[in-house]
Amino acid sequence: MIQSLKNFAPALVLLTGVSLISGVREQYTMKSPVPMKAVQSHFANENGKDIVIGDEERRIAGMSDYSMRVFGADSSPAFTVYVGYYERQVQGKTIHSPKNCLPGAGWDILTSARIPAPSGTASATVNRVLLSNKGSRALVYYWYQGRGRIEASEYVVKWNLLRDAAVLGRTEEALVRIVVPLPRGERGVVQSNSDPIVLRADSLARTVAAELEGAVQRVLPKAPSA
Amino acid sequence: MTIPAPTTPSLAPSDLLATVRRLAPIELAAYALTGVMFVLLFAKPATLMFDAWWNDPNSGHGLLLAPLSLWFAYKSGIAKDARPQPVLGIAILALAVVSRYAADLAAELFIMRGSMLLALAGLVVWYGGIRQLLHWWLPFVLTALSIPIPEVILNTVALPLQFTASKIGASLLAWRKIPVLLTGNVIRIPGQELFVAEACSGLRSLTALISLGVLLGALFLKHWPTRLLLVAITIPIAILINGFRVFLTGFLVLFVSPEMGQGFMHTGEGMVTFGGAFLLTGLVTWMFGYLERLPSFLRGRTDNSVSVA
Repeated sequence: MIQSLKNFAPALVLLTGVSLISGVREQYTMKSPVPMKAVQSHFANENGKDIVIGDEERRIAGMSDYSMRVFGADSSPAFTVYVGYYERQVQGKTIHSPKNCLPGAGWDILTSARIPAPSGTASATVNRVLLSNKGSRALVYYWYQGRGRIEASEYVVKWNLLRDAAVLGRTEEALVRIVVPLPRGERGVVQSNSDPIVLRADSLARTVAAELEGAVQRVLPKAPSA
Repeated sequence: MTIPAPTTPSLAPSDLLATVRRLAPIELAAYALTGVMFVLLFAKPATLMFDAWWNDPNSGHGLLLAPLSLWFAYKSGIAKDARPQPVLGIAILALAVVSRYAADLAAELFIMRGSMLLALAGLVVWYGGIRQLLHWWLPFVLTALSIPIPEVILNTVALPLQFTASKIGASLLAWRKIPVLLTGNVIRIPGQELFVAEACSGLRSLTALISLGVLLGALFLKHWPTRLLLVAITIPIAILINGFRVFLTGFLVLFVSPEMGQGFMHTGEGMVTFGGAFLLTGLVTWMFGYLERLPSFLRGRTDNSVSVA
């Protein structure tokens, strides 16, 4: 009899699993209260013009909504701002890191650092990346914003995603990116972070980022209560 | 692996039916309940996996591998020395259940799907021991390879390989005197910019070709070193084929129509080039099989010549 009952052991273990998952909370799809295009279109005394991302690129990037704008003269833009919003992330289909996509588009990463968020928000960090593509250079600031956080580290973002999915059932997030093209200097292509051209670009990017963090916060769903 | 003839007890339908008829009602109930609980626990990952096989071009090889795995398991049958290992089986099953729960909490698809395979392994060990699990190594490996790998991991590994493929494609275009500028994975030819949307995607069909290498190696090669070498060679084959796909797309877009770089035509080119990769892998398998047989062939000829002498 006991031997016969032992045959039920696998079924019992699986039944335990069924009981556990029946208590797992649902994952919410968090639609943004307003479209991403409602993010302000005026930064650093420049007005932005919308750029449309192609359907195929949009399908591969997988964002639910976005805003992409170029600021400055058409022939020589001062900077671009991109906000890509993901109303729900499923592991395996999460935000593509610019660290992968920028090299894919031909940019080499010259230097990369994590810096405190220009808005001064406590414990918030952003990525600062200096890029090169043949004869061109660009300075990029990017970060992940959502669920009450501004975070630069891809690993911390992934950990927060797992934790919030388990505890809150929420995985919405935005990728925010500022690109400042760097003009050639008197001595040719800029080489280092201490170059005056890079320093001016840093100042511009910080000014834009400080305003942009708040602008993006206003279009995202409210942070979950602690 | 040459598929061995089934050993007793077998999985032939008539034998299975006879075995089921001999079971006591309580044993039958245990099997049935285990089956029902397995379906309840893993219905969601199974559905999600099938959805990925059906809709994701990088995972479509699962539609072939899953039925093949079942077929190989059936043909292999039960190992002669299979003995239940209940403690180990339950431990693996418990780990699978914990993984399933954790993956559900965090909406983590890869571990969720993997937990299903782990649970199957646990059940095999419970009923037939580690020897039975090893006897079925090919069905389990093929099923594991059909689980879609997370993009974060796949792109980290496959993106550098795609850079190489893009360089090969751009070099081929330049060889045909087509002006080409390569930036990362984006190809610029006169009037066109190609692969912009795929710029940060990794090498196409990499896992499908690796799976094919495992399958062909198991079916047609006898020795593990040649099997492993075949799997390793599928990676440069994938790079070459993707490089050729880049070249073909650029060539057709420039000389036939810009539509060749989009939609159905572009997908069709991908299928044709994958077919080429399949043939190339088959050719390499045939060569390795010939090399495996060569020593015994030469020994046979030497013996004959000695006996003639």
